[in-house]
Amino acid sequence: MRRTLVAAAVAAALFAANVAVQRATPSPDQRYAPIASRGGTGHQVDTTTFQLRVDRVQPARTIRMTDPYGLVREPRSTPGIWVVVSATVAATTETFQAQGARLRTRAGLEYEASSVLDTLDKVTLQPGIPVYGPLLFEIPARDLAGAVLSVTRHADGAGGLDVLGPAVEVDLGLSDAYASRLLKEMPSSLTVGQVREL
Amino acid sequence: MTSSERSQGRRGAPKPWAVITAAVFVLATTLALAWPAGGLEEAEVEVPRRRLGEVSAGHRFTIVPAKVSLLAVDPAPAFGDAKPGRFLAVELRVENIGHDTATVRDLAQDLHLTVSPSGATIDRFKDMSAAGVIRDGAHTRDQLHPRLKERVLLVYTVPRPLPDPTHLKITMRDSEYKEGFDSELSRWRPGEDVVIYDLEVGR
Repeated sequence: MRRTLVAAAVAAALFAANVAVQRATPSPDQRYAPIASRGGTGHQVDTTTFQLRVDRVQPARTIRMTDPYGLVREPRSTPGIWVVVSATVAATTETFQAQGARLRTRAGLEYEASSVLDTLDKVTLQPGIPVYGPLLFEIPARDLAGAVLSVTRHADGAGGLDVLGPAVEVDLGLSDAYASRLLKEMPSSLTVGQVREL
Repeated sequence: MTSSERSQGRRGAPKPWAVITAAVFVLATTLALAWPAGGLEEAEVEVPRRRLGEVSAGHRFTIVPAKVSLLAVDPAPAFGDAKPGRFLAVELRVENIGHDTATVRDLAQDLHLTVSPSGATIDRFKDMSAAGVIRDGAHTRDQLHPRLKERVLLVYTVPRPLPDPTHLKITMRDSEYKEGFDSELSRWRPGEDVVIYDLEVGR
């Protein structure tokens, strides 16, 4: 009887260990995800192929893009809010496009950079020449707090992953109180400047 | 009887209690699996049918068909002036309920169109002339961001031999984010049919 109880206890323990190992094993999406370097706003974050610094984050109800001649275009609306992330990016070893720029919310939703032209994610960067410009996102206002910027080389491939490639993740520092203040002071229209080499 | 003969006899004939336990186990397992799935009979998949203005949700999108019309001029020309022809314009209210940004083309891939009275299928790739988000008086944007509601315009050319369509049937196929046979990485893959819309074509 005692031997049976011991055997049952060992079986239960092995079963529990099996479940624990299964749950702890990373999914294929996690195993092949880009390798991220993390940082905060105002600090340069380095990867093997590019460097990025987030300089400013501004929400707005509508945006107006500036064309290459300095003229301001018609306002662009959104069903949510615009989040304009002004950043400086530099390629270090090879030409680079920050096409895989996304904003990830606390709820785990991923917002690709808006398809509006003339933004930082549409520019091909040459090594050693830093470029400053806007990344544009459209999100619901309630998701601004806690948003994180994620930048990879490109957004193509399985599941939009740059498999095991370099990535930058920047906590935009949008605490509940700060996000709430930004939304309260949000301009109805924000003029967005051109991408420029530094 | 020697000890080896006794051992062989024990191994050869299973005890009645073991047979009964095995039978009960098999029966209970079968019932436990089959009962929640609706019994052993093959379940019929009944796709709901809906009309204009009614909402349907899959795993990636919710849609509400708002307007279907047959137009004599292209409502969304890609370049230059609008050309004459026969254009089936489908206007939808859409919300991306998935976890990541999608495009209007992703949505269009999930919609299968059949027109009456011909009963012909509109090719959702070859016959599509425009697909975009309606915003700021234009329909050039393609992105559908999570939790942001948009109005979407899909325009199809009606193939030449077909008569003017009076009714349109739209079957929406679901998309599910999961791994597949080609790759263990998750991505949006086709699922089951979610809804069939029976819509009148206005002019």
